[in-house]
Amino acid sequence: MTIALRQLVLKVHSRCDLSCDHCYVYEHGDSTWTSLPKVISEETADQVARRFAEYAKDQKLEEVLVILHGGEPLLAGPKRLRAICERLTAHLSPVASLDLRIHTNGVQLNRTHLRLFDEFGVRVGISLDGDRAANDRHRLDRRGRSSYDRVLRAVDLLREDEFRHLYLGLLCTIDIANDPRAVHDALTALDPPRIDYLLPHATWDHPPDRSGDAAHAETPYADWLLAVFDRWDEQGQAVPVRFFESVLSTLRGGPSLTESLGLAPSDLAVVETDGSFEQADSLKTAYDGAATTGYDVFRHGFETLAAHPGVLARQSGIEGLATECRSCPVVASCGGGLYAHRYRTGSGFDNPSVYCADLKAFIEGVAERITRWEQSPVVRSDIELAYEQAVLNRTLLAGLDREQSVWEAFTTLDASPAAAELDALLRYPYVRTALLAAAAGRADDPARLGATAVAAALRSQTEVRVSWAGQGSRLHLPSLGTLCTDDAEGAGETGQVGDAGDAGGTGEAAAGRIEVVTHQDGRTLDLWYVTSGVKTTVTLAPDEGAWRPLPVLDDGVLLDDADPYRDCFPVPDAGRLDTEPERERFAALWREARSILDARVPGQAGRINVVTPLRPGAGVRLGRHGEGALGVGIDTNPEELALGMLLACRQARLRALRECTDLSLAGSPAGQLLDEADRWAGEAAFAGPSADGDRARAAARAALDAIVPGHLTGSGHMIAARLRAELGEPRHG
Amino acid sequence: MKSSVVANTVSAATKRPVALTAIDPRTAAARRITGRLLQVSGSVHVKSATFNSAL
Repeated sequence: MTIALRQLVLKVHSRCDLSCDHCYVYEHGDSTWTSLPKVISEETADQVARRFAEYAKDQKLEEVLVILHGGEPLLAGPKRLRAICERLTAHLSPVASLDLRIHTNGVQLNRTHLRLFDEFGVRVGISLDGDRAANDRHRLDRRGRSSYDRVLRAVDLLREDEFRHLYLGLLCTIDIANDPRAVHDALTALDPPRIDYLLPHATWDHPPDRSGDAAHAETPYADWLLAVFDRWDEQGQAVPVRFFESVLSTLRGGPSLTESLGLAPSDLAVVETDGSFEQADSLKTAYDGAATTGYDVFRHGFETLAAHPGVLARQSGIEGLATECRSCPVVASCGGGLYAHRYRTGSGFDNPSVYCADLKAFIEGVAERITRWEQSPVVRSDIELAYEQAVLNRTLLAGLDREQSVWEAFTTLDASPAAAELDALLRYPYVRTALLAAAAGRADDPARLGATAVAAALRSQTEVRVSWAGQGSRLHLPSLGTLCTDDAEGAGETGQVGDAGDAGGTGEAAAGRIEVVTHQDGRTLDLWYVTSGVKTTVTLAPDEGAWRPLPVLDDGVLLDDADPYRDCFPVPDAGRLDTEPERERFAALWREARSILDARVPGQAGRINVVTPLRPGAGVRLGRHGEGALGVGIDTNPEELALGMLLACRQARLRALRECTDLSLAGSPAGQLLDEADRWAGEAAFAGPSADGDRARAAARAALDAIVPGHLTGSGHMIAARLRAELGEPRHG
Repeated sequence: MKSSVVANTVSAATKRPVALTAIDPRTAAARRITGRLLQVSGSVHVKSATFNSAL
């Protein structure tokens, strides 16, 4: 199975107006550029756009990303760039969400370009190697003149209010001769939304420069990057740095953010100015012709490129790495480094990165730093965990863009006796899912925050007035239920949220502004649809036809089959259980499973507060976010559900702890061993005094014994000690 | 099966966290807290470009 190609690097000009001596296109092993057209033709651009659109449609891609690149793409000129943007937009926009970007040296960037980019939503990244001294070490024009002032003029343009939204950030190629803190300070002074640091391209045939002061350092590139990392941390991590965030993400089990790190399969296609497909652009640093495929957009589609052996080789994860890489403790974070950097004549790419030692030292340095951070608290009890979770939720909420009225509602509730209820609602798993989606930039859903404030006010029986834009005809109040107001403005045109059982944001109904006043009885709402002027008062009672409350199961757990953010399970949900017999069947399954669990291991299911029915065959799943959302396949048998409940409760606690603090040295196997021990301990408890139980207890002990002393943090030690006690061992440490 | 208008099934913490109005999300501590959560939950923004030579 091939991985869908989602990113297209489109070379629109094959020459450059700078002659940076570290450039992989012109200064390394490859001479392909000499035979390419200088600028891509409109016909070729049209064919590329057509092919990529066909592919995106076939692959059902929701979003595609096109990066206009070069050479120097601005040399194509505004007229040709306009034609390219027009063709890409015309072909791709009807098929998928198009994310258009350009990466430039900035030398030629002017207002004409930026107005064009504004028209087509093209965001701009700029290459800059730091302060003047750092930048001028390599980034000179053909006459040997500095590019610094011209690039800074481009950045200044991007920082103007008119164009600020197009400013993607700065890309800096590392030179260890430069002062790392000065480089980072120079870049952050330009207020970029994002920075990335690139290791200069090198291979085992042409190793990176380690001369000068670095001659005696074992890992000079790691030392340089860690100095920047420390500076970045001193500055409060104010500007996202892709390289650092990728390592932090992978150390904590998340995805990598750059093709230069991690094990994620490549989803990148490159098309040259003549329409030829290339493999990874950076391969040009390896040897002449290394990136060529023999395919082009006139004779081949993207599906052909996707099946090319060279493309597949960069999608094979850990299996595609050199033997020594596969057993390396930091492999999940480094992923063998950038593919091109592994090259050596004779063995090809079957080698560790030429930066192997530096990558390992950097990743281990980051792991040590983040594990010792004082902000990683020791969490000793469930009460302390609830406190830390509240801090987390509040911090998340405070960092979101939100309407003033909504924020005022939250702060009003927070300043009242209702504050505890606000924290309780923020802990609701699907509220967390929505907050995280907003924090990660994946959802712009003002209606959800407004609805959350209303739900908190109702739960705490507090009077609050709150108003927000984008509310459709269905107002889902998280943890409570769904209010369907057919007379909402525009509901029939733009405001149809559709069936509340459809997962997705409440913001899909871009209907209009609503003002809501909650009454102190906790069940009455005044609704004012501002644009249409419709006003109504609703009482949230089960016999009120417009109100569909979430059912509560016998043990107080909510059956949530309506929250638009409940699609946080790795499998699809079952939709709404619309009929009473459906709900009763599910309730009976839950009741029986709960009864089995309580008989075997009493008092273990308290962490679950919401359950969502999943499609048949889904089994028992823990939601991705927050504590305690359980997804249950509607055909699950009670015994399986009982065990699943127990294991999910335990897993939820460990995950909630990890959201607040580190349990082990980041990236160390200790974390996974702790998970294994916890799972085995859960299975042992469920099996009771039996052969199966004994086997599970032995497996749990083995996992605990395999943890390297010193790899657990204070909180991790507490978990390990608790597990050993549970397994019948005397408490350690 | 019961149904309820207000179902408080989430137990609240007993220790009072800092007020919303007192939280500055731009501080290093706040960024670390949010960053950790995004990382642990796999919610970092992965739809950005991963191509090495561009942002």
